[in-house]
Amino acid sequence: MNKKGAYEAIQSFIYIGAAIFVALAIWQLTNGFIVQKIDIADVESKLLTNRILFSSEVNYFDEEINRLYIVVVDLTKFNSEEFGSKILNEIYYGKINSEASAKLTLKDLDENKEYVSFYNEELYNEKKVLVEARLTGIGSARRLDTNYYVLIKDGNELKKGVLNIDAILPNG
Amino acid sequence: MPKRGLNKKGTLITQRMLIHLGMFVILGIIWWVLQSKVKAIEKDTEFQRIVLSRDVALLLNTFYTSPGDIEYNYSNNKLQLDKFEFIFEFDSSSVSFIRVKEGALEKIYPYSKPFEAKIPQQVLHPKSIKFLKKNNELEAMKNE
Repeated sequence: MNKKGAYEAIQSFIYIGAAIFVALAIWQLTNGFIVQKIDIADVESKLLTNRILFSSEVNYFDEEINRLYIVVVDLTKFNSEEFGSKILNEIYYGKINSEASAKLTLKDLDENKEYVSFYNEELYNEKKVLVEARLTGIGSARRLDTNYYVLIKDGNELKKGVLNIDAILPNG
Repeated sequence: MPKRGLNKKGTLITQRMLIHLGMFVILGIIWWVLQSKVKAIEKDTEFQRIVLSRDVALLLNTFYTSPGDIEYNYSNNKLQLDKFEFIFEFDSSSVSFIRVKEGALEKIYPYSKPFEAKIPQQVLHPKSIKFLKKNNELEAMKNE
């Protein structure tokens, strides 16, 4: 190949390179315009909060008439040692739950006391750090903090209270 | 007598032709790849599968949120449900999944159900899906 031929060959390779670059750019742009991500984290965390709020492991259940009293928190259940494992079985995401977690804080407004329990404490503590560091993206998590006015059933007594559910869900 | 074969100019022309021919072939391949991509997007149901798997998982979580019994008919006017297979998986050691399949392609999404739960179920190519929740046990069935 002479000098002119070599120059033309190099020029052609540049054109081919440019064509491949344009094709890749079109490919990437096409992929970018296809919606493949649907963010349902907010709805999921609200659902988790509601599941906890309506759970038979949290609320008072009258076995005689087979009735669940929603937003009447049974203090005996809430403070029991098995609360964590029972609620994990009620909202069951497998033996190793890496899908959802929450911290439940029950404030007794009459006696100014506070009780704390967890749904999936291990994941909550792990993801809380990431949420507080405001990290986003896969591997991090999102928080939904909600307060509900409830009644607290302490023995035969009903007291006024607030249940705070601090739900943390990992980003999918 | 002149020499047979190509002279210097002739060789250059042949080389040019080969280079241009190569370029056309490469451009043709690029065009074909892009066309295939566009056709694949046109036929692709990934978005539908993602929507359905998440929608049904949310629905199941909502059912379990409610303390009472539920009968619900799930249909979708915009997505043809009968193109898909819905597989509700439950394994006591791992997460429960809803699988939305179309042939070999599938999308999965987790949902939570009480520990003591009914065996996995399949609803194949339904027009709509009927859900029955009674005593914390959920049944999904095909609704023609």
